[in-house]
Amino acid sequence: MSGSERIPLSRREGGSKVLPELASILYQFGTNAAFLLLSALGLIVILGMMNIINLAHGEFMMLGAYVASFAVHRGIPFPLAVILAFFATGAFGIVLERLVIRRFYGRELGALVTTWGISLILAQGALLLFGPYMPPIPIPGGAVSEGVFSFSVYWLILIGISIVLVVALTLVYRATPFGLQARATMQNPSIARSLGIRTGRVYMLTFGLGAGLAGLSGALLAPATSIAPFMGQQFVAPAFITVVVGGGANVIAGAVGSSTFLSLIETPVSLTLGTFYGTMALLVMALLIIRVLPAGISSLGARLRPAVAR
Amino acid sequence: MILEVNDLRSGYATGDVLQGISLTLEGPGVIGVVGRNGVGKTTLMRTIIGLLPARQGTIRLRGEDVTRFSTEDRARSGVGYVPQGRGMFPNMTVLDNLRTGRFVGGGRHAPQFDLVYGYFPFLHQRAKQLAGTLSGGQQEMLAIARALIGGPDLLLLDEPSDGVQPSIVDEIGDFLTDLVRTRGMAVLIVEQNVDLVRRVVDCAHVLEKGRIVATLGGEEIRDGELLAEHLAI
Repeated sequence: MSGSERIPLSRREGGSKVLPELASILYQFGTNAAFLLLSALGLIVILGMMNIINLAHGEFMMLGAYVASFAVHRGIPFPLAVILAFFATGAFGIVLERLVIRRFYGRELGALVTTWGISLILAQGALLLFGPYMPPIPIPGGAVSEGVFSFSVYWLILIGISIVLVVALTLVYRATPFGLQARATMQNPSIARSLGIRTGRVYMLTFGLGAGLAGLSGALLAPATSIAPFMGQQFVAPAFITVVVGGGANVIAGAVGSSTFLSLIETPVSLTLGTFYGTMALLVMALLIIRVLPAGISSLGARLRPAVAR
Repeated sequence: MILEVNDLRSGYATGDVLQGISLTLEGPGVIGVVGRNGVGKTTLMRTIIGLLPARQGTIRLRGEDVTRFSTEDRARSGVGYVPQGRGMFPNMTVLDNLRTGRFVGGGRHAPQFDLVYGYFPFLHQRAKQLAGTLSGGQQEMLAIARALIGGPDLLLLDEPSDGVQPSIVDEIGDFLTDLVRTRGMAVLIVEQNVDLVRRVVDCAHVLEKGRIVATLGGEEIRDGELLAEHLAI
């Protein structure tokens, strides 16, 4: 609000105080949802498309944050550093898939233990190579103040970016040849192969995309956290909760639904009772949803669809 | 020579199902493989497309030995495979199912939508519908169209009449006859439906316990009695 528009304080009592408060709640809600969605993004691609529970997801995010930190402190602008993190982590994911992961397709427990091992190696390796901390990345953009409330410009951008990423990911899977082949491979790999689709390459690119998205999210969230070898752990629990609550009927829509719904619960509790109780509320809500809808929020849509189609 | 199978053996962990199969498709036409349940008809089809590895023998496509090729490379060499049970992608639309067939034959040409819509106009009308919501017969026609759209040299049809109402079976029969006559297609069909076999097949191999025990020519098939005997359960 510019100076010329300022109205005497006495007249601002009442109505005009509600607006910033509402904006603040919306902002908190948006940041919570964006955090959940960004944490889950790479995981939903790998779990939803390949049925691999990637326990190294947090370390892929750590890797992205490390790449971004390296890049930023060598003078590369932050937005470019984030893009670099996507490609570097994606390339790393592709190499990992070719060397290790592809040997465990169809063996879910084997893949689970393997990715857990990879996560340990990555975190300890980062500790050995780079020490306990990386130079932090300053939060880009300043803050916008409105009365007693202040909004971080960067988090507002993150909310926007998570929306853009979800739309882009949906378009990749709905409207590109790769997306078509990936969906076919997901639904029936042997039939896909018998139609000439190179499912091995689809898996490789899917794992690379999932890893790259994890790296991208790690880089995007890096300014808001300390960049350290074990930083991935803080993202893993929210990521898995978001994915499990979202369910497998439509992983992307499920993750959007669950991150929206969970932050709808978390935000008011956090604002009134503190973030500790906010996290508690999120966990309790997640448990309740999984109890009532074992196949997740997206199974609601799948349950309704046949009725509509007929 | 489109397809040449020589002394083929394959099977599952419990043992060889195919005990040395040899057959050839020399050019346009429909060759049938008939026999009772469990004699290895589907195993033969799965081994030709590569979903099961050959334990012995060779498979040649237009002279090229593809026995060690991956399934996807065989499809790209020009084999359109229509599996038993149709192998739909049920949660994808009819149009998307058709699009997945474009690499059959190598993907060098644009998908032949006009060709398959010409034979099966309902695919065009229902392009946006989920494939899983089609009837059995419609799914069969979609599976055939999907295998055909990329322009294969050879179609492998595994029991196209299974779970399909008789009028649609007739329709599929007419379609196959036309496909051979106008497009010069070579078709290997596994079938238990006597009417469909009599309607489309030029020559039929009778499979028993993983071996070809008889080969029936046109007259013997049209006669019907021998065929019915071999198919009797």
